[in-house]
Amino acid sequence: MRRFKRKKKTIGIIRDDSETGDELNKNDYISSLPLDLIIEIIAKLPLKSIPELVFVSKRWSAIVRGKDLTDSFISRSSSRPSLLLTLGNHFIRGFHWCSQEDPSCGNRRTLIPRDPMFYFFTPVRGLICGEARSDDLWILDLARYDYVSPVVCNPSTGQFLTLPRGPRLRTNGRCPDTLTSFLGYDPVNDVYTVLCMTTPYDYGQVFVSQEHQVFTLGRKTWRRVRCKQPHCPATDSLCRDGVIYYGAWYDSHEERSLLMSFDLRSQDFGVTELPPGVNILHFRHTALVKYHETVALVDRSRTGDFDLWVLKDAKKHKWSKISVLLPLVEGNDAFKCKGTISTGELIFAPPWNAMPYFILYYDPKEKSVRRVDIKAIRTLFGPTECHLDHVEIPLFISR
Amino acid sequence: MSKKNIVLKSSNGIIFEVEEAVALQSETIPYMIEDDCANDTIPLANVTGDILALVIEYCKKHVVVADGDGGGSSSSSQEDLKNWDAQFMNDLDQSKIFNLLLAADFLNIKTLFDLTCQFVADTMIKGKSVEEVRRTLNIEKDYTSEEEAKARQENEWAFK
Repeated sequence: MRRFKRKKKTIGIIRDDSETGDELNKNDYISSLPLDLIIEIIAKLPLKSIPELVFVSKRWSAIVRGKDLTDSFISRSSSRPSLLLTLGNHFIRGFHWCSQEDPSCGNRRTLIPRDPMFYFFTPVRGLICGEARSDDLWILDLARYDYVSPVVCNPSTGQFLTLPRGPRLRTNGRCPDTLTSFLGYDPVNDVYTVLCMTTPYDYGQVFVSQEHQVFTLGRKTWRRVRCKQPHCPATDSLCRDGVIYYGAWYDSHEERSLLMSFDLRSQDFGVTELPPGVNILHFRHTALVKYHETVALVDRSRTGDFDLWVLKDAKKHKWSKISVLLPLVEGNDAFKCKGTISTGELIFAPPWNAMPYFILYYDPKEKSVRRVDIKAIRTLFGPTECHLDHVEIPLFISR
Repeated sequence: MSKKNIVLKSSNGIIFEVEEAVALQSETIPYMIEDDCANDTIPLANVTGDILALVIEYCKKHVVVADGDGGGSSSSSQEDLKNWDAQFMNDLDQSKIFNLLLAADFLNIKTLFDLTCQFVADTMIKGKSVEEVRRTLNIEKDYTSEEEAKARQENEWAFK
């Protein structure tokens, strides 16, 4: 029975229990319902029609922005998480998602404007963060920092929000031209926070920095955070239990690497050494993935050989290695490991330009692989990236 | 099996006698029987007679189908029931609908509760503009036009 936890039992016939009760129109029956019943009604609507309801009244705005409504969707959606594909070509940009256990089910799509150009990082609890660049400037000047804005988007509703530009980050007296923004969710305080850092490459050079900044949605401004360990991100992020993890480089010249963590509540950085001999060689060729309930580091592979380094204890720098030999299905594409799903299978995605788009399900017990085509993705929509564990929420995002 | 009747009394004192199977679609009533609220009459202080009559009409309709097919209703009867539900809801005015929703919640009748919530969502909110939602539900606009314009301006929309 899908009912979120009731706070109190309804008593009485239609009555007036809202704060603005005195002014209520006597025919306004819905406003005299207890809050949890209004939420039950709103939760029956198609997801895309919910955010607009913030404009109905101040009370409705609070309901639509509130945790209770989002939680009722999360509890429904978490049992059937989605595979989220970011789509992008010269004509169209947007998101496509479908059941990650069975991609023939639950196919949905939203489109976003073609311009500006977006690059998205890993989604977190229904939202995704990225950066927007003007197409023209991209061509002229490789997206100078001045023209790059972090954006937060709700793929399920198509709402996106451009964050104000933060103060310039400096590294050794120079300003990096572009930034990387990772999204995290702190379940204790129920807040989404964007961690913004320097981007490693500026015409081939790595910028490490001790200075980073965070933007917590709803608090309207950027705040600086310092880390004793100078670094810059080298992988996408993964947020687990209020902590953002990402691979990072800490040396401008030799590109030596670490696992960094950022605790959203304490706003402290943590440093974990990688296993001996393991290094991140190319920007975003190594990924952090969810391996069952833990974090693992894994490289792309053209040979089908994957070593997953599973984080056992971040403070003690303890890792364990799991090796997978993926029977090759499609030539020697550089497959990316995306992590495990509820069936225990490991998901592998082809490079972005695979058409028709497909994913591989690897069964570690049988050591077998099956290929599943995402039939809704045709040549026209080149998926640029594939993410696991997307959940549909109607959350209205605001600064 | 012997058929037992249960007597329900509405808040305004109207008495309804129904078969046990009809009343037990409510998950609240069994507790009231256990609590021995009354030997033969269960008082429902939160539900008026006209609403209780609707609840009973709904429960009677639904109990017949569940019994008749030994738990597994055929698709045609499911279809009939859906049509009946739609007609049942369509005949009600807003005041009745919302009171029925409260009664279904209080009596904990899941299918009726879901039916009413879905009906409100589909007929009074879905596909309507903000202005139409306010008008349909008689909700007073408490934003000033400036506040609304500002809130809209702050947010970009890709998709409607």
